[in-house]
Amino acid sequence: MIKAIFYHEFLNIYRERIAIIMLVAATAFSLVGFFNGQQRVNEQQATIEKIISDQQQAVKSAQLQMQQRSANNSQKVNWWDDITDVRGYAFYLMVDYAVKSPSMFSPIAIGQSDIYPYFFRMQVDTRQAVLQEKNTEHPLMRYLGQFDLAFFLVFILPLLLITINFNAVAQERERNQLKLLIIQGLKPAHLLLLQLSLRTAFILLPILVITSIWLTANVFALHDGLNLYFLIKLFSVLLLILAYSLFWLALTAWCITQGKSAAHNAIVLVSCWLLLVIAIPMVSNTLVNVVSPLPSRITYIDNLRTATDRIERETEKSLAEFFQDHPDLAHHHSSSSQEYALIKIAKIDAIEKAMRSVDNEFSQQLDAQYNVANRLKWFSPASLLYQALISLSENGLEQQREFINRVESHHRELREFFQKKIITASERGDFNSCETCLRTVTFSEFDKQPRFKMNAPSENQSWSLTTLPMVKIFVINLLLLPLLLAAARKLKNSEVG
Amino acid sequence: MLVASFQKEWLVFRRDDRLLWLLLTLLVMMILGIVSSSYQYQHKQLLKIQAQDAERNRWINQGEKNPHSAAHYGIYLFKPDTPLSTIDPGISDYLGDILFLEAHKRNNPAFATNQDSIELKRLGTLSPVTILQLLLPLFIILCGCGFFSAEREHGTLRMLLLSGQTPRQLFLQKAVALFSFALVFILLIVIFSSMILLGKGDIDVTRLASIALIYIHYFAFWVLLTLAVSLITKTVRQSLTILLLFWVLTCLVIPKLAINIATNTYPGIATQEFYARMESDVYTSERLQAIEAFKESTLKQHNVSHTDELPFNWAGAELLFGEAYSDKIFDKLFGQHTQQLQQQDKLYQKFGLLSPLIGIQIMSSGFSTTDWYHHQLFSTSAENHRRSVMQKLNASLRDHKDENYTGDSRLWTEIPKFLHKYPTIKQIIGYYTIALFSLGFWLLLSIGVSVFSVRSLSREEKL
Repeated sequence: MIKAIFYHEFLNIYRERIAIIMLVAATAFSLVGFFNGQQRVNEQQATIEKIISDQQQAVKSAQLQMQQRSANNSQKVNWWDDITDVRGYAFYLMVDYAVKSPSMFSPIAIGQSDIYPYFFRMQVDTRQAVLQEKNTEHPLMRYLGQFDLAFFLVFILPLLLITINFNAVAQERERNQLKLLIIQGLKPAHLLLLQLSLRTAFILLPILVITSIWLTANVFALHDGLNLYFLIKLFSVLLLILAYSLFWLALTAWCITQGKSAAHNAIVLVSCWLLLVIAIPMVSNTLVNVVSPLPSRITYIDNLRTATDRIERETEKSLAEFFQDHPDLAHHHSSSSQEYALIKIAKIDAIEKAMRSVDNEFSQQLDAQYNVANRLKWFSPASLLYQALISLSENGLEQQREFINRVESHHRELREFFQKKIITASERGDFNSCETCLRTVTFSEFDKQPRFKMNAPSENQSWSLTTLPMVKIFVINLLLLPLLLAAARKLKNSEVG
Repeated sequence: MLVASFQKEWLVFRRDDRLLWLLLTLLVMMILGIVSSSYQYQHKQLLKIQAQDAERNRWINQGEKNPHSAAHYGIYLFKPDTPLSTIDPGISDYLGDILFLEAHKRNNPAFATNQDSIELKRLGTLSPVTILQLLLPLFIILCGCGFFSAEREHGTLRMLLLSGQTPRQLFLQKAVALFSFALVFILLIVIFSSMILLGKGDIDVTRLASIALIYIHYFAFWVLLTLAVSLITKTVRQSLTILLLFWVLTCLVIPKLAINIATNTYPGIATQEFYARMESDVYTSERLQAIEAFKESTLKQHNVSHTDELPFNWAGAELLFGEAYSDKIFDKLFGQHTQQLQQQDKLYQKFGLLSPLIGIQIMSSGFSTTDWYHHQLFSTSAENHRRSVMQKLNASLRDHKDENYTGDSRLWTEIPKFLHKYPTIKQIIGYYTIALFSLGFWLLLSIGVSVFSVRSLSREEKL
C-alpha cells in the first residue's frame, strides 16, 4: 500500500509543475547564494594579497633607498619624508598592515564581514586614529546585504517548504479522496509523513548536495584539504539545515492536522513565517536598541576632543607622566623636552590613558547589547540559525572582536618597539637639526620590525565554533517536540478524517 | 452599492480572525516603529546639536596660535538629519555621521552607526518603512489572494455575477475595500509623524506629501496585482503561490542581486587603494616641482631674490598654493569615486523596472534625505566649507609678515558656522527620474493586467 501511494504521490508531484519549480528554485537560490558568498570571499582575499604584496614591496623599496643613501650621501630630505629616520618611518612612512583572512566556510554566511573592517594600516599613533573603519563601497550594498546561502536558508527556504507542503492531506480531504484511502487501510499519519517527506526532498536534496560539493571543493582548492575539523563543521552545517527544515515541517504538520482547508493552512503558515522570521527578529532588534542602546560615537568624539585639548595644553606634564610610566626608558631621556617626536609619543600615551575609561565604558555598552541580543535570539529559530551559520563562517562579532584584540596587541608592540628607538636616538643626539649636516640613519631594520600574525584559532576555540552551533541544533529540535506530539495525538484520534 | 460592498468585505474580514490579528499586529508594529524611530531621531539630534555647539566653543576658545596650527586642529562636523528620517531612515545607519575638516586632507564622513552593531541586526529593525515596503504588500496578498479564486473554487463567483453586478464593478469594489486597509497605514504615518515631529524641526511639507503620494501608488499597484492574479487563477493555491513567488523575487531577491550587479558592472576603487592614493597622488615630486616653480615665479614677479624680501609671509602663500594643488588632486580622486558610485546608483535605479520595491525604496529614502545622493550633497558642502576655512587661515598667515604672528578669537570667530540645508524636491527630482518612471511603469502594468483579467471574467460570464 505504502509503495503504491509513494508511486502515485511521486507521479502527482511530477505532473504538478509546482514541485519542479520548487526544485529549480532551491537549486538556483543555493547556487546564487554560494556564488555571491564566494565572490565576496575572493574579493577580500585579493585585497589581502595586494596588501601583503605592498608591504613586501615597501620593505624592498626601503632597503633600496638605504643603499642609495649610503652611496649618495649628499642628498638631504626632511625627516618626515626620510625612510631611514625612525620618526618619519614610525609616524608616517611605515607600511604595515593587520589583516583578517576569510575562513573556508566564509562563503556560507557573509554576516557582518562587509561592515566590519578586515584590515588596518598600522602606524605609531593613538589607538583611536589607527582603528578607524574605512569603506569606499556603496552604502546601499551594506544596507541590502548579500544574497548568500544564509539569507536563502533563513528567509526563503521556509517559504518554499510551506508552498510545496501546505495542501498535503488537505487536498485529498477537499477532493473527498481521503476517506477512500482510509477505508483501503492507509493511516492518515502515514500519508502525511509520506507526502511531507517526498515533497521536501525536492527542495532539501539539491541544497544539501550543493552545500557539500561547494564547501568540499573550496577546501581542496584554497586550503589544505580535508581534515576532521572541516568534516565536523560541514556536518554541523548540514545538520543545521535539516533541523531548521524539520522545524518548519513540524509546524506544517501541526497546521494540517487541525483539519482546515488548504487556503487556511497557507495563510496560517505564511503568517507564522512572518512572525518567526520577520516580526520577532525585528522587534527583538528594536528592543535591544531600546533596552541597551548602542553607545554614541558622537559622545565618544566629544570626549576625545576634550581629552586631546587638555593634553595639548599640558605638554610638559604629559612628557613627565610618560617617563614616570616607562622608567625603563627614562634613563635614555635627556632634558631636551622640545623634541617633537618625544612630545608626540608622550601625547599618544596620554590620550590613550585619558580615553581608557571612555573606551571601557564603550566596550561594556557593546557587550551589554550583545548579551541582550543573545537572550532574545532564542525566541526565533531564524535568529538561531542565522547566528549559528555566521559563527561557523567565522564572520561574526566574536571573531571580529578577537581580531581587534590582536590588532591592538600588535599596535602596542609596534609602539613599544619604536618608542624605545626614538628615545635612544634622541638621547644620542641623532635628530640633529643642523642645516648643512646629514641626518644620521636611525632606522634600517625594515624586515625585523614586529609584523602582525593572525593566529589560527586555538583548538579550544575551534571546537567551540562547532559545538555551539550543535547546541543550537538541539534546541531547535526541542522546539519541535510539542508540535510533533500535538500532531501525532490528533492523527491518532483520526480527527483528520 | 460601493458602501454596501465595502461593509460586506469588512464583515468577512472581521469574521476571519487570522487576518484581523495580522492587521492588528502590523498596526502595533507600525506604531512601535514610529515611536522607536522618533525617539532615536530626537535623541541623536540632541547629541549632535550639543556636540556641534561644544565643537564651535572649542574652536573659538582655542587660544592664540599660528593659523596653520589651527588648521591642523581642525573642526568636527556632525551631519544634520531631517524629521522625515523617522519615516524612512534609509541607509543613514551605514553612512558616516561625523566629518573631520583639517588641513592638507579631505576626509570622508566616518563612524557609521552600524560599524558597532551586532550581527543579528542584519535580520532587520522595526521602522515604519519596513512595514510599508515589505510587510503591508504581504498582508495585501494574504487578504486578497482568495477574493476571487476562493469564490471560483467554491462555485460562488457565478452567483455573484448573476446578482447584477458587472465584473468591472465587482473588481473595483473589492479593490477599494482592499486598498482602504492599506490607506489606514499611510494616514497613520502622516498623522503620527505630524504629531510627534510638530515643533521639533523643519518638516518639508512637500517632501512629506510626496512620500504619501508614492506610497499610495505603491499600494495601488499591489492591490490591483493581487486582485488580477486572484481573478485569473483557478484556485487559491495557485494565486497564493504566484503572488508569494512574485513578492519573494521582487522584495527579497532582486534588490540584493541588483546592487551586486551594479557594483560589479561599475566597480569602485578598493578601499585600500583609495586611501593609499590620497597620499601617493598628492605628495609627489611633481608637487615639489610645482611649489618650486611657484616660488620662482613669485620672486620674479616681486623682483626679489629671497622669500624674506617678499612683502608678505611666504609660508602663508606657499600653504595657499599647496592647498589649491592638493584640492585639484582630491577633486580628481573623489570625483572618480563619486562618479563610480553614482553609476552604481543609477544602474540600481534601472532595476526598478524588475522590482517595484527598488523604485519605492529609492524615492522614499530620497524624499526623506536618507539616501546616498543627499549624503553626497552634505559631503560636498562640507568640503567647500573646509576649503574656505583653510583659505581664510592661510591668507591670514600670508598677510602677516611677522614670523611670530598668532591668530586669536577674533580670527577664529570670522570662520562662519557650517550650515547645511537640504535642497527642495524640485531641485533634486531630476536625479530620481528613472525610479519615478519605474513606479509608474508598475502601476500601469497592474492596471493593464487588471483590465485583462476583468475582460476574461466578462468572457467567462457570457459563456
